[in-house]
Amino acid sequence: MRLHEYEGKAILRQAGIDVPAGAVVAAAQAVPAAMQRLGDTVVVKAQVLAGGRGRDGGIEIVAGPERASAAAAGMLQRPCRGQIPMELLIEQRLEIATELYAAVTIDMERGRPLLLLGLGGVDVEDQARTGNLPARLVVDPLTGPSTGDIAELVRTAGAEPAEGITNVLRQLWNVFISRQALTVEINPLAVVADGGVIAADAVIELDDAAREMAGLPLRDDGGSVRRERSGGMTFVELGGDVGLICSGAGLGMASMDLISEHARPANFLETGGGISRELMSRAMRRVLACHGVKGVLINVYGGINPIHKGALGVADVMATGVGVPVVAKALGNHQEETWEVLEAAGVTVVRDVATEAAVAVLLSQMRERTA
Amino acid sequence: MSILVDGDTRVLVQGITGRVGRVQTQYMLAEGTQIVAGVTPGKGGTLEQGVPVFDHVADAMADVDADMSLLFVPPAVAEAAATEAIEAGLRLLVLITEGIPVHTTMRIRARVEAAGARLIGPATPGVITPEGCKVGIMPARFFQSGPIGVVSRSGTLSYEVSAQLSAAGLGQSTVVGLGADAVVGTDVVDLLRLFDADTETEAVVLVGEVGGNQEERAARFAAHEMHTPLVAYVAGQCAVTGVPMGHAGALVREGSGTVTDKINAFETAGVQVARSPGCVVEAVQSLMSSPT
Repeated sequence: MRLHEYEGKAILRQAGIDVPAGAVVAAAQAVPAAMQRLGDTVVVKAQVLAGGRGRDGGIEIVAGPERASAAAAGMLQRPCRGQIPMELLIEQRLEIATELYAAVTIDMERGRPLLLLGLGGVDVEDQARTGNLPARLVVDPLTGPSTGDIAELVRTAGAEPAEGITNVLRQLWNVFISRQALTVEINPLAVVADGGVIAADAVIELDDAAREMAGLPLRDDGGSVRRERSGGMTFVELGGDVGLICSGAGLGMASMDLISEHARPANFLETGGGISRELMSRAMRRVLACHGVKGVLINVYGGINPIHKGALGVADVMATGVGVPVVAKALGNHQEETWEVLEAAGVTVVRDVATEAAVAVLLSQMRERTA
Repeated sequence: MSILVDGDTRVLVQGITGRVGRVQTQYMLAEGTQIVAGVTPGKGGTLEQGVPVFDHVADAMADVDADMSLLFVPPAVAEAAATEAIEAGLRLLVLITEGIPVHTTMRIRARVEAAGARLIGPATPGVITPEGCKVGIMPARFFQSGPIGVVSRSGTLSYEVSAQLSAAGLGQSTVVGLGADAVVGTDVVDLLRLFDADTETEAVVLVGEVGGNQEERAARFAAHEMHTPLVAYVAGQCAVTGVPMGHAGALVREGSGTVTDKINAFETAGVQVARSPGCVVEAVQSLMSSPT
């Protein structure tokens, strides 16, 4: 789950990292009042969950309350990187001497945290393209980085003032650990004229699994796609007419790819390993509630999942009259029992192991309905 | 031959009396897997389907000699359970549990590496050497013994692909679920290396998906070091950028991790790419009939 810039900056400030003075506004009328304590020249920043905002009109430097309000009004109506911001961050303008890039992230291949320090102000992709790669420090997650390790990283990167930057990296590490973050990134980390080191931006991405374990809510990651994760299933609405219920993410993606060769998926839905009668009936109702759904493919394996119990949940919903064809491929432990329940409920059961076959049967039934 | 597990592997099951552990132990015993001990704190001294249960892994190891631990434990105790297994001297851990926070997985993996052990998972269906040893949740009916190695990021797709290989008479040496999380215990390249060294594995199928760069690294390994022919399939052409598609690791970030990137990497490396799960069999057959 990615946090907005202002949420990230609040976390950094709490951890002892300097951030520019700023105010969050949801309407242009609130801008002049906010500027009274920020000065006459401010930076107006769209709060959307995407990088590259500056190149898409999402960051403007403006002087005077009238211009600042006008910039804010425009930004609140215009999509930036595909998302219309609900809020803007109005910040004091910094007199920046040097821009750095500082981050703690995860090296997925090694399975270890990674501290990064380099030149800032450009995208990470640009860093790779221009060869200006940041200095890296792979960290043992059991011990964390020693003060000597961090000082060495700062020396390697040639960053000044060394002490201030070392402190920021230590605090950044503390945020990464205490929030169980996937990424904590400051780009740019601004060195100002008096030698102060200030986080001019903040990107924090938290771990969904850690939040779920702590019982904290997950928020939709923004954008035009709705994603829900609740009660043991992941659901994404996609706008097509072929509904989909799968018992695993890989199978779900493969099924979606196969459907897309001939039609458009209405949704992505995967249950993981938590299938029960209740969950499958909820999954059926969720998919049938998608606007324009004209058929449903159920593609499940009985490995960890008791698909014979899930079949009862499908039958519960079928009994209410669904009005569209439902085709199921259900294989594995208790498959015969599962088929019996599904067929009695009016579901077409495909016994072929290839998902291609089940997709073909469903699409032909959907065509027959419309013909 | 096979990799990781075979008919002689002696298995300890952590979480053997839990809802999932109990049912899966029954399925594994039915397949002939040698389950020599179970561990559930508080249930020591009891029997589960004839398997002696202990309170701690160390107690079990004082009594029986297990080669590996298979873990069906809740995410909140995964780190403690895995640490117990490592400290008791077990050198292969298969961690089925879904929903373990990434920071926890990093710590488990660091402990495993410090001990010179190996971790498969988390969020894996496990490992099966058909007709020899099943340590995991995969339905045995889809697998049969033979010369094809399978490595998969997705559990369900490993069933789909293996079942079709079996139906075509192409049995499997070993089928390994890498795990669906962003950080897993064993890198895909390590597994390809094991299959490459296995004299009875004649071809390997890699089932990948969007997100990360495991497929790209596998492609580089296949191009430069691997002798055994490789077939790859990658799911998630339709994945939406920025939306994790069920698996935490299946996330296309801006500008990286797409199926197209991965297919290009395989094609550049000379790896045969199957366009759908149903095309894997044909791709394997064409490789195995062509002289190398």
